[in-house]
Amino acid sequence: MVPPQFDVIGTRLPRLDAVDKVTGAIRYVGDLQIPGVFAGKLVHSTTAHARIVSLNIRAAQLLPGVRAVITGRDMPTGRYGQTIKDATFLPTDKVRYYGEPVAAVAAVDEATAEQAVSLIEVEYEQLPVLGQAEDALRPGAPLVHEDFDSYEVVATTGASPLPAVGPSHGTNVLYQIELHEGDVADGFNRSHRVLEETYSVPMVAHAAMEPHACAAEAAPGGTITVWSCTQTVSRVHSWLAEYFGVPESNVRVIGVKPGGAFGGKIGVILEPYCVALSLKAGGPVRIVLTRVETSYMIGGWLPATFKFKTGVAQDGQMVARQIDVLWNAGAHANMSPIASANAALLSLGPYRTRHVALNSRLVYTNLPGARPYRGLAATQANWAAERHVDSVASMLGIDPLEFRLRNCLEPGDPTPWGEVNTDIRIKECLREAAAAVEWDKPVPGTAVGRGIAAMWKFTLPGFIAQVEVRLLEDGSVDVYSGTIDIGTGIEVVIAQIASETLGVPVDRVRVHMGDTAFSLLDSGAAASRSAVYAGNATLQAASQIRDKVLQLASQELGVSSVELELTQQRVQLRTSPAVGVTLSQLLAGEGELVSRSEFRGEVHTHLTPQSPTGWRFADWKFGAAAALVSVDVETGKVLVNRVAVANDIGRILNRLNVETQAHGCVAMAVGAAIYEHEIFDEAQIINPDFMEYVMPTALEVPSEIVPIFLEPATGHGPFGSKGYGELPIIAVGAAIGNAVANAVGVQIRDLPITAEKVLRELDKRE
Amino acid sequence: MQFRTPRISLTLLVNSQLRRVETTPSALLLDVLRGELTLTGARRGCETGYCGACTILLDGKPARACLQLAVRAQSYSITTIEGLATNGELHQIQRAFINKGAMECGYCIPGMIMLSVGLLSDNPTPTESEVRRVLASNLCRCTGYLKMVDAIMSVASATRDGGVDGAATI
Repeated sequence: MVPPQFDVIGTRLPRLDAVDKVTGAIRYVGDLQIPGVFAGKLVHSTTAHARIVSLNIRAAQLLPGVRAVITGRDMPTGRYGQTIKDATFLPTDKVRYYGEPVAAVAAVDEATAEQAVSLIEVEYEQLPVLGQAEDALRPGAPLVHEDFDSYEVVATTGASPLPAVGPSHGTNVLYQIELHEGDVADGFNRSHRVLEETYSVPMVAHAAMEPHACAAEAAPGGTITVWSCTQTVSRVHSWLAEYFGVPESNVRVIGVKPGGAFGGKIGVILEPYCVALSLKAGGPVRIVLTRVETSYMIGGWLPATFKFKTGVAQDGQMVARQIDVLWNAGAHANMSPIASANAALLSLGPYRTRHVALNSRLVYTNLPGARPYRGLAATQANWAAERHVDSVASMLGIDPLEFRLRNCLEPGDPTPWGEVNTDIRIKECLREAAAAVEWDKPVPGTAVGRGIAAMWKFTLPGFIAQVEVRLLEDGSVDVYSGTIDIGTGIEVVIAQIASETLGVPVDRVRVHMGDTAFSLLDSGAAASRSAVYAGNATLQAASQIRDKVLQLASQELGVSSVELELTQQRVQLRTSPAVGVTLSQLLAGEGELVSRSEFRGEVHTHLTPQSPTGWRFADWKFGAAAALVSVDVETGKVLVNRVAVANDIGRILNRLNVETQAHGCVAMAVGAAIYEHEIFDEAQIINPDFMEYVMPTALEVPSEIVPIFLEPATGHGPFGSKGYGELPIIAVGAAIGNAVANAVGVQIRDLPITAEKVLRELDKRE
Repeated sequence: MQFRTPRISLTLLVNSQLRRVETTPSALLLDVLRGELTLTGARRGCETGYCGACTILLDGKPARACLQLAVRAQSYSITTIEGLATNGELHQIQRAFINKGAMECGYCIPGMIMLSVGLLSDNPTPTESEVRRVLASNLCRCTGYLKMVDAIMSVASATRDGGVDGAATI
């Protein structure tokens, strides 16, 4: 039941760990005081693709102070993977990317561990290196995974309603989807004008401020305890147990809040090295990566090349669209099959089109394995899709806002794969974003431009969150959840939901997150999921306790429970609040009230006869971004003055949180749009450090970030909310690209829009 | 071959307390603070002095603890984030960061706060562009910085209006 008015939902309540964060008291994995902990260090490959001929660890083993040296022989023989089991921790046959760990050491201190690493000799037999996705597609290209056909496929389809048509055997293609609706050839024939363009997106780093870190204590045949900065605590728990072949009950994963994650801390990463080292060293081992190691091992988002072909009628309606996407997965699949499929669908944009041909191929190369990154590749797809939409509008001489408004989905329109949704507010979002950059007024100044872009996204189905709520005898509340607060503020949101439902102040609610010793199953803090999943589970569990409290009070007071309300730690008569009983009076002798609930994202949408079998969790989100930029025509430098992001986010649970998410998303988007680019020499990152990997500082972020929230409470989250953590990043890059084109007539199609590229294009025109 | 690293004894003035530590001549101040002194609020985000997550105050001026030899820090009064609150009362910059929501994951926050304290002690009423210029020496990946600018400006504005505790408390 939704309360008519809210006490704490929607307020600007600071996060529960705010004091710990401003005093430095919060402990990240590297800050934990673990008695007797050994320093773990990885030995990284110094080539991107090579057979391992020999590995000599003898000198390292003999170094005083060294407690363990491990190679692939010390690891379980099984493979690991979240979609395709293609990864070995410490391979014995060959290395597939520059920086792949081939051995690890544990020693009494960092200096000794570093010295031991330098004593390990690895001999390689070089293999041809694949850097570009196009190279990996060439006939006769070397295979990154020769044994691919024998790998176990765990899950690749994710939210995609489409069956995979790949992989192609004997090639580097590991995943492929196609979508054909209508007759695209006929559609192009009937079109008034047709435009073809190619766009590309390089690898962009997550660059969380905390480099990856993990600690583990394991005893042979005994228990395993892991302290991890993972986003997916309970998944790491089950995956680790499976990998080491031990019962899950023998493994405890203590999720330690990460210092930033953005998708780069999903899944098992450092845990197996720490566990194996600890088994051998006979004590706890901690690995804290350096920034450079983090860049080598974590890579970045999924890079891609997009070919777009669009046919339009004379009236500006899109008639036919053909999209070919080539994604560069790097050396390991990670979540890329799911990311590529979703983002390929999203590249169609929230538009009506009768004839569609979509082909999305994902290939292995020798880059570091790409990982999910805020938006699950939707941002990359949006860059190409929404820059292309502007080009089409410009070809027709139609205002880009007007062109989008003519083509975008109306409530009830089916998508090209046959889903129907009536909760669509793309037009409102476009109009709001446009208004925030004064779309209807002349551009203020020369070399100043405005751009707009639309976006859409879904929250993935098939995930789960379980939550336990306990109302203690004194009326205070414990909530146990398996998610983790990666900086989004989900902790305070869960407390707000419990507080609102149980009539208990937030400071009497404690949220226990991400320790598998007591928290329940949760798919993890990713995909804008926690507020919806853990939030709903909290609301359900708390509501069950509320019902029980009202029932107890009804017996106590001799009135029907419908006449009662629960507020400020008291149950009282609605009509005469003076008559009532406090929670602690009610619970004395009764004991704690405990309730458990789970939320699974299994909501079916209406499907058309063409796609009768698909289903998804219908948490759709729409939005638009608008940018106001100025370009220095002498240097080519783009300065982003203002960015507005408008989204239909439903009920806001915590206004401070969503504002900060919007600001953070815009800053990351500005980085990816203008500055950030992992540069590879063949397949070796040559800018792995912050000195060369340039990210926005306080001087590069827009002076004005304008988050616009459409708040119809129609979401599937608690109280009609929606997940928001990724939405405001998705369309900003394209809006900036469109604004640069508007400002100086320069079309940059390959990210990032560096000053160098802009200047080169400006010079060409002179 | 093993290197025998000599040990030395240092006396550091940290958060108004004299602390004696045994370490090596090449130890970085950041490692001594985080290791021997377990003051883990200063954090390592890179190894090149670029991110500023390890920012502390040396004689009231912001400095990178990761670029400072511990042995050289003996000549300074060192303030870390742990020494900022007085008698359990948060510093006004700390309060402003909380109230403005100027944080997400929190990893960079101690560095950002120490930087802000240094800025305001040098220039209690900076302009917004002066604040941005100073904040630009540290990196944050979560917040987009604007709420930090807001937080600092709110303290500056309280100072300008003759706030009771002023900004230059360090």
